Amino acid sequence: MAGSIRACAVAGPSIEGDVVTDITAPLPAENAMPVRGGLKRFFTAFPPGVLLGLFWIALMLVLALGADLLTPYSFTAFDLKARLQPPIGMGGALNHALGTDELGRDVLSRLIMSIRMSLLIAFFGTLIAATLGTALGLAAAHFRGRIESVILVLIDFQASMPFMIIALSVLAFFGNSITLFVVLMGFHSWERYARISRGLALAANEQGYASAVRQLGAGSARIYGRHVLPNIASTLIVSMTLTFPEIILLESGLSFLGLGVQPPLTSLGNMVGYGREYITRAPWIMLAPSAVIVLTTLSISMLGDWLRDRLDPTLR
Amino acid sequence: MSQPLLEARDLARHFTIRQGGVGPFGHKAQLKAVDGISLRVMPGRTLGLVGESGCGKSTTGRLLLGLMAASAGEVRFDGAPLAKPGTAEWRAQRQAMQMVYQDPLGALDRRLPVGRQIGEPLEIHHPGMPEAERLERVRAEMAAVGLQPHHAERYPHELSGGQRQRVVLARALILQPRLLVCDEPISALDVSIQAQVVNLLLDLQEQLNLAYVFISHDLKVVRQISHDVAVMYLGRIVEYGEAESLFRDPQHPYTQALLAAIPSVVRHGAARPAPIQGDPPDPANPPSGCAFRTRCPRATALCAETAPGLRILADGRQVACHVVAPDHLDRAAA
Amino acid sequence: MLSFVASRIARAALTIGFVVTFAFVVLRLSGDPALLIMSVDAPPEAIEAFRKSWGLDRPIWEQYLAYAINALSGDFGNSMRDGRPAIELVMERVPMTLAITIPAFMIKLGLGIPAGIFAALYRNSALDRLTMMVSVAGFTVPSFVLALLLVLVFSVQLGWLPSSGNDGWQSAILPIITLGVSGAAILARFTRSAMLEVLGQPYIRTASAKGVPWRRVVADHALPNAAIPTVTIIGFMVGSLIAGAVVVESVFAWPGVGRLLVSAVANRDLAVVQAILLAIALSMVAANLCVDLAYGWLDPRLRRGRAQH
Repeated sequence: MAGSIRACAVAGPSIEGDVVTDITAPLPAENAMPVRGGLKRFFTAFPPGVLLGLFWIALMLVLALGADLLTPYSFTAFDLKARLQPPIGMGGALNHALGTDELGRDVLSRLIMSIRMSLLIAFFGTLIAATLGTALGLAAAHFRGRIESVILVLIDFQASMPFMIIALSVLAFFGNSITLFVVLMGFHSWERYARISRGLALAANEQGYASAVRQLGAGSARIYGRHVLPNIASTLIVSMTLTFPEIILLESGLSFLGLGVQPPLTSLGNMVGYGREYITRAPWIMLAPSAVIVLTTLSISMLGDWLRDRLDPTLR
Repeated sequence: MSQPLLEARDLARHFTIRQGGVGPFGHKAQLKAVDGISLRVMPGRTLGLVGESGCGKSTTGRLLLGLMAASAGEVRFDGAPLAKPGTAEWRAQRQAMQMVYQDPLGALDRRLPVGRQIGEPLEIHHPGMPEAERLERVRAEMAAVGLQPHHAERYPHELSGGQRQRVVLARALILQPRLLVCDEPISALDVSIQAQVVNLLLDLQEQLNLAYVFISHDLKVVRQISHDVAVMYLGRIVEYGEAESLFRDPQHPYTQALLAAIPSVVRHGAARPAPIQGDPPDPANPPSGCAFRTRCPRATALCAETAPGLRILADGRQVACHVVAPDHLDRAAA
Repeated sequence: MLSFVASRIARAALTIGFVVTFAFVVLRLSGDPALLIMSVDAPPEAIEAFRKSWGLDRPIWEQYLAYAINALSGDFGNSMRDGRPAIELVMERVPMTLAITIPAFMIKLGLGIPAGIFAALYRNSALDRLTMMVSVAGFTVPSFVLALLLVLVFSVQLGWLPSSGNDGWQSAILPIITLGVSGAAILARFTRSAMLEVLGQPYIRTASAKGVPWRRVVADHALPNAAIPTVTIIGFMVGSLIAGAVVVESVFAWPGVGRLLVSAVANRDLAVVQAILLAIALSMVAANLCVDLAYGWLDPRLRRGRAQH
């Protein structure tokens, strides 16, 4: 990414008069169309949808990080006098801005804690999936032979079964704990990273820069750490913007079924599942977390699309 | 005669491929990419390796550098066999022999400034070298290949094709090797740039007493740069000899056909052979006997029976052809 | 062609073997089956007898073999809850699941594929924008949220349709719509990008430059080529006919396989879970096999195996 910005800044006249003929070098978006004023250029680079998405993600991060300070009440505190109190706008009062549930627990406070839980799970899940998948993909590309075949069979298996089913059976066999659950989420879509990193590392090993550096006498640590990983990082990061919302959806689905995050802990899906019992009398209990799920996955997907166009036009 | 810098004996590389089917259901076939070739490169001299694409010349280049394990035969560098990849001896040998690639953009890391990449061999082989010294060496090497100091900060895609190839050269030369294997080093460049890079290679050879293995399908350039030339067809050497005489008076029908494709090279010769017809045969299913017989205008019945070996002609040239260099002529090609 | 089919069948068998192994390994890792099934304070002799009767004292590979044979013949033991054979419980739920997933599948195909094709052909039109918007929603709105929104509107507010249970065909409508709409959105997005990819290819431009009517170009060149990637995702959808309704069945209390799975997981009724796991694996693998064979039919290049190093 730094490279593409430099490209327009320093591509001066070259010595020996041979023209720069490389049409594959990424053209910065700013140069692609006539520039009319700073504001327009800004919105060309950052479309309003992306800005809104970024704003929403930032808000979610602030809520998640500052959850302890920002929750007006403890998320488990009962307020029996104010049970099923509607939110502001549906006839509620200021003390419970998003209303309360049937035990009088503050929906806003529960929502903030749920956001924290869901984001944490998605964050660690994504991290595990990316690390595991990349490591396996690089191992397949490095060792080839039998190790590669085994990894490919694993990839095939993972891709041919809906992960929801795998996750459900593991939960059935092992029971549920929050650690197991996070690790389990980390097994979602690892095969995507394994595929990507194997493919890119193979290409680099066959003909490209990696074989050139190996030929210089470099060891594997240098080849993968200095060259291959930095080169595939942008592709992996773009993939992470796909995995993150997928894990949010998977986690909330399982928690909604009562098989994910267990009370007294709470997550977004958990709240929806719980609120569904009160859908007639107090729909706000399920509407608030549902809206958060949709907006968060939407924002991250939009951010991911935008990143993909900027960082890695070759991906899909 | 002095000792050759690089010597290959009966070098072969076979690939096992599967045909018709996936998994255990296909039948396996041997693809002889390189099939028993012998050659030698003297210090400070250039061996040109020519042939159509797919004839095994790039594989030969990688075998010569030990970047790929040989199925048979051996390569000796400076009298010693090539070391196993990853060992300390291998690392030491790497410093003395380097590779220059056809696609410099692919051979360079897109995410590192080229100055860093030129200095990388020093980081690998001399980790203790002070940074200032390394930067000085990089600057000197860049100057030697005709790059400006400010290019060091650029990324590969910000340079022109010719500049990138200079970067690759500088990176290969910074360890002061004695042998460069250049695999189609100019074929990806604009014609106007090709001459500059060729001249640079010639200058460097003169200054540094470098030996080159110059792999190319561009016969004009090979003639300009090479002292000796080996012509390959389907994994074998069909003609091998001193460059000037080989180009002036090609013996093997394949060499003749290749040269006929460039009108300016063959000046006289009453019956100019026709340029080569058709495509090379499938390397996995080579014809019996001489591999070239299917396209050879002078093929005889004998050519279909046995493959001709290399025979030494009067001028020291080696030719593998039943018609031009029949068996009784000489026996002694080693 | 024969070896192509044979290799695909071998791969399918490998996947099934893998699922069985996966179930066995996870089952053994999850704890001592004797302690899991017997109560903790059972006398040691009883546990020993249990082990013997279940073959748990034999070497592990023998156990694995016995397990694999039983699993492949559909014998997973009895459900812990009502004591009936697990496979029976699962099989009687399959028609209920298919009753909602097959109509939903029709909606996905009938809505998603035409929407994707027309969105690609009339790129940037209002239809394209609408398709893209709905398909983004299809990805970001989880099915349980969509289901609850439908319940909120059609059951709670309008009172037109039952919110859950299984009383007549009306009960099936909301589950079918939920499954169909979100699947159609995904399929539309996929078809659109496959179409766009194909429409950008040189042979399309060549064909239309030669003067072939656009309608023919689309019908003869674009559609068959765009079908190749689309078949993959349709295959996955076919394979998911049994597996894909877990959440939706639970929301609507629809007595299908998915709901059975959820309750079996919640109760740790392992026999039932394993039976469902294998049933789903079989359906996925069968669908994948069909996709592979369809590929061979659609893409003659794949019929002959590629040479590989």
